[in-house]
Amino acid sequence: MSRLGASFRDPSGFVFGRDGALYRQVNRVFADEFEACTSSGLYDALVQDGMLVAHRPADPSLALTPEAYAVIEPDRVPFISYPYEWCFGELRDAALLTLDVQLRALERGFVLRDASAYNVQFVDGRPVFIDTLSFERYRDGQPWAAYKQFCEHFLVPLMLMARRDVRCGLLLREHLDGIPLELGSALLPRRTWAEPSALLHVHLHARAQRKYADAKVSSVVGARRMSKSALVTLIGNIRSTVQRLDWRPAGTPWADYVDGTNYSEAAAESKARIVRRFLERTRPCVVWDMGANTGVYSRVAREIAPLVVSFDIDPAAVERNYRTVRERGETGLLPLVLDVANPSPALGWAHRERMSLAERGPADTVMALALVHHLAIAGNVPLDHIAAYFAQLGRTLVIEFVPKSDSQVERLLRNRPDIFADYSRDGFERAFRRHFIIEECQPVADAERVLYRMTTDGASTA
Amino acid sequence: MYIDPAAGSLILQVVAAAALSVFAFVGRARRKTREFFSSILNRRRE
Repeated sequence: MSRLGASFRDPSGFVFGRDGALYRQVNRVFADEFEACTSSGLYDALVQDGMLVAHRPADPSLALTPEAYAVIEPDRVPFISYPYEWCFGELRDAALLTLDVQLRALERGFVLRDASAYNVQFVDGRPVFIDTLSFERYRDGQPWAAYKQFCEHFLVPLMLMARRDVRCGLLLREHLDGIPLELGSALLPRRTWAEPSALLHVHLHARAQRKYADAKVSSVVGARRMSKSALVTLIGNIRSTVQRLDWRPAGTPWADYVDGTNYSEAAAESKARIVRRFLERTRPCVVWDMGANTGVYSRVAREIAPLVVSFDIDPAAVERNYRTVRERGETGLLPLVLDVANPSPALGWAHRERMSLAERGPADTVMALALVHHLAIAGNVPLDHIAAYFAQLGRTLVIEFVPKSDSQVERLLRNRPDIFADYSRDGFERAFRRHFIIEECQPVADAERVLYRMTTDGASTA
Repeated sequence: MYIDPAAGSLILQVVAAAALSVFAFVGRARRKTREFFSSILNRRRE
């Protein structure tokens, strides 16, 4: 029985776990708003359209503290991901969802009281709003209190990714409450001062922030009111700004990696066949595909596993993967940006607000195809360290060993001395046997590579 | 309200929303005017 590490800022309620189930406690201070929202039909309408996570009333005696008014049980999100792990398209879709939820709420006389990117999760290839307590009744004339938060969580990162460099999205890992407006304004190219939307929502917004930093809201806003239609116009303008932002995923080495790989068609088919057979042996529910590139083998895994999380370091490869998910309407496949050599750490207050990658596991199966040579040779990570970390992440492992004679490894060693004496098939098996039992291995046809299926069951993890 | 709405942000959005509403109104008025005159011209051609 415990309160979730990230759920403490909002006094209206919090999320907690009990006996393996997840609940949300609604506190008495928020009872009126919660009842008004429930009876308005807003929750039902949003859930019906797949915009809000569904919830059921739960036994109030499950409440964790005496301030409880009600307890609800939301549907579980299969894998929690964070904005700093999303590609451009995912962050943009999350932003559009937040604005659409806001517009739908306004139609029924409600408004979003916050616009945190952490209120969105991805389920079955689509963004879903997860914070049931984010709605409050709209009061005539009131501006949107979460406008700044929306800009810092969504608009500034998206503009930086689209106009400056897509890797700016990683700034969200440092700035958990969004990229500050003045930082965004300073980092954006000068030409964006000529773009009305960037000028208004970022540059002038940052200036206004600075000018009125010490002002009291009531003394500044005073009698100024904002009609509902003006608010809807503002939200509509932000929405079209977000929708117009675009980024083309091309030109990075990884986005074109599958096309430029040294695999023959026969080898690629053989590899897919072996991966499928290995996964059929254990029939995992959750697979983490590390270094998934554009998700070719994630889709092979998805034929067997209900959920595949498809990680890659390259934002362009992840973007292409995500666009494929959206275009084909694929479910159970979640592409995320992640550097296996520097995975997402635990972050936030007391390191408990945002979970590290390992805390979100272990997965039933970790796949590491055509990855180990990058970690061991390009990243200088000893094989034993790689094996130990993978044993922490998953119960079983499907891994590909790429020998030094492979052209991809030769390329990595082209301009540096070969200091990797242990990087051989023997050295690889020796290192991984310390953490796994090697269940089977199979050479890939028409290639020098070998695929292994390993399990941690019974293996020493020392 | 449990987040800081920030005074600068509130004042900017009040001004911005007013300006955007004016632009939207002018845009709608221009479109309607154009539609009105083009319908008259079309009727004359017929």
